[in-house]
Amino acid sequence: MARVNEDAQWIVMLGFIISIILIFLALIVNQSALIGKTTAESVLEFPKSDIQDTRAEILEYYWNGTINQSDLEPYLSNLSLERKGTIVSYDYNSTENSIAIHYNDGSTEYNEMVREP
Amino acid sequence: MYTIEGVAAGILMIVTAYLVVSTTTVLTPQDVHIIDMQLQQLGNDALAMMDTPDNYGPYSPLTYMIMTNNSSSFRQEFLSFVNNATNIDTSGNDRDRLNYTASFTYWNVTNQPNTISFGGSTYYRENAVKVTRWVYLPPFNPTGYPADMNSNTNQTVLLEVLLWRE
Amino acid sequence: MRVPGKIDHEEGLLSLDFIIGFTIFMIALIFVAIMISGLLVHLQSRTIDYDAVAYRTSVVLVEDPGEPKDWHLNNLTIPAERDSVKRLGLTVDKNYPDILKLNKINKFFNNSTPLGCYSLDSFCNPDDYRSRLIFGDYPYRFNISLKGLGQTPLDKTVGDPIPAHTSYGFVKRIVKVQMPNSTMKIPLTPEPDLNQNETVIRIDFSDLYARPAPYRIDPLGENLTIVLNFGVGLTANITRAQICTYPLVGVPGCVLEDAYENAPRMNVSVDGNSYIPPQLVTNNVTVIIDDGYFQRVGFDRFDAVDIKLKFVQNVTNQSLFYYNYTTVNPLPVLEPAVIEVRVW
Repeated sequence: MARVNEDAQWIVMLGFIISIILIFLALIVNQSALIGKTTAESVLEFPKSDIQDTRAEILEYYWNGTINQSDLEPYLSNLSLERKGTIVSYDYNSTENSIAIHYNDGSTEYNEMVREP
Repeated sequence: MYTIEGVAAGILMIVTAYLVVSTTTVLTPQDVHIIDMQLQQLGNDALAMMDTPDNYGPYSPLTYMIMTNNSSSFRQEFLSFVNNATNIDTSGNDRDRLNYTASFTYWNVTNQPNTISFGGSTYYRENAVKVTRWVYLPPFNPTGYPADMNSNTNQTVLLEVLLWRE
Repeated sequence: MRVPGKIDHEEGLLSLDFIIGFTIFMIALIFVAIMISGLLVHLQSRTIDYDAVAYRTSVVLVEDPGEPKDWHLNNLTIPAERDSVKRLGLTVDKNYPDILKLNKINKFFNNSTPLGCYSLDSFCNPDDYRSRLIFGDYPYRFNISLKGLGQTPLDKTVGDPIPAHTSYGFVKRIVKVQMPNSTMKIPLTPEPDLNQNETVIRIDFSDLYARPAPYRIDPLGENLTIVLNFGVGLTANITRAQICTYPLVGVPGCVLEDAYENAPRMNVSVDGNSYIPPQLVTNNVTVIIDDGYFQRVGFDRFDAVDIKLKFVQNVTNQSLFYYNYTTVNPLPVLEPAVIEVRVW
């Protein structure tokens, strides 16, 4: 025919626009699925009890007077690396009476300087 | 003419929607994590309280239990902590049904880690969490333990308890 | 009149072709909308929220000393002191989570209904708990209960009754409660060489603060009790009871027993009766210093005080008694307890 009837192109255009909107929505939902976590998972992931326990153990060495014993630290670091996959180290500075504690379990890193405990 | 346009638009939208739905991963709320969180907090609390001496001066009850290899006393105290609730009556109804299996790991004289069991029930396939506690041991007499355990120096052992609900 | 092939914009008639195309498009659109709405269902959920709120509430309760950390000494009838309590936490000290202070527990569970509660020395249930413990805009309902597992019976609850048919967020914590024991007993006997008519008991706060918080006698935050036991055959007339700073320089100097009428104050009782000097003592003299008294007078943890009781006759030959961890018996002890938090 001489002229192509283009009046119905608006239907296809609507369809096309809706597809674009869907792709955009899919992007947003995809991002939220990665970022969003249930609260219980976040609580499980943060090693609160681990850090409290490690800190209490190191301070117990201090109160027992054995913090300068050089072979105590390898027990703590090696066992924690071997069994729990976390890095624990501490360093006692007797002139300043301070303990530097380092803890890293892969997703959380904790550093503390305990002065005059 | 409209028909073909309509069909074309419809096919375009359905195909896009199908692709979208099949590629997006959906996080469904996992109830099992809540139970894990409650069990883990409870187990950590119970071990921390057993590792706290009631009076100033002596070592904690947990240290004594490991020094004397007293896994039955550990069982009694640990289960009484985790299974108790605020509304149980004297006949013991409404007590919880948690069970555990325990082991601890020490660094032996040949500089290797060694794990030995410390009591508890057998674990089959329940949904369980593992809670741990560092226990400080002064020099002691290791009766009932393997010979490769250090006993004349201060050391720290890692107590691991697997906790589940029956 | 219709011309075949021409689209008529004035006649409201649709061609069959258009209807079919449009219908197929609308059906496809409805299918797609239903499929996509399934994606968004998971993004909103209410039931997990309660467990998170319960967990957070339990952490504030058992792992935080509260703000200010001696909030249990505040008198809640004074609005400024009630407002200064920002957070209700029960631990003895921020470095010792899971070890709770008995005074804070008693004050926390002391609550009353909203009607007229602002004029009482207790927390308003539920408003004070919502704003100082649970936080958040939604009016959560809660039930917090504590049960002692040791030798001292301890059973406390606050909040609404537990619902039987609604799901609630729940968390259970195991804790240890410090049972404060701070009584010093001084036996006085009729020896032949009595030469002092004033008993002086020295409390050096820095000595008491030398122990870690769970095992410490806390003079600023707990009651202190001193009992003078008069042995058989010894009687005396008591004339004055006062607390003085040591060394005796500057303010506040010496403060008599009757300096304050209302709590916290220094309470003296003779043989179980009220103290009205001069008075004959045959059995014992008991001095109870309320928690918060030393702060009211103006002492802090680096001071030392002398408690002086003056008699007419000679009662002892020891010039100074020391209140410290060797003379107080029994000492503070920890007892386990379980605490449950339910939120819905």
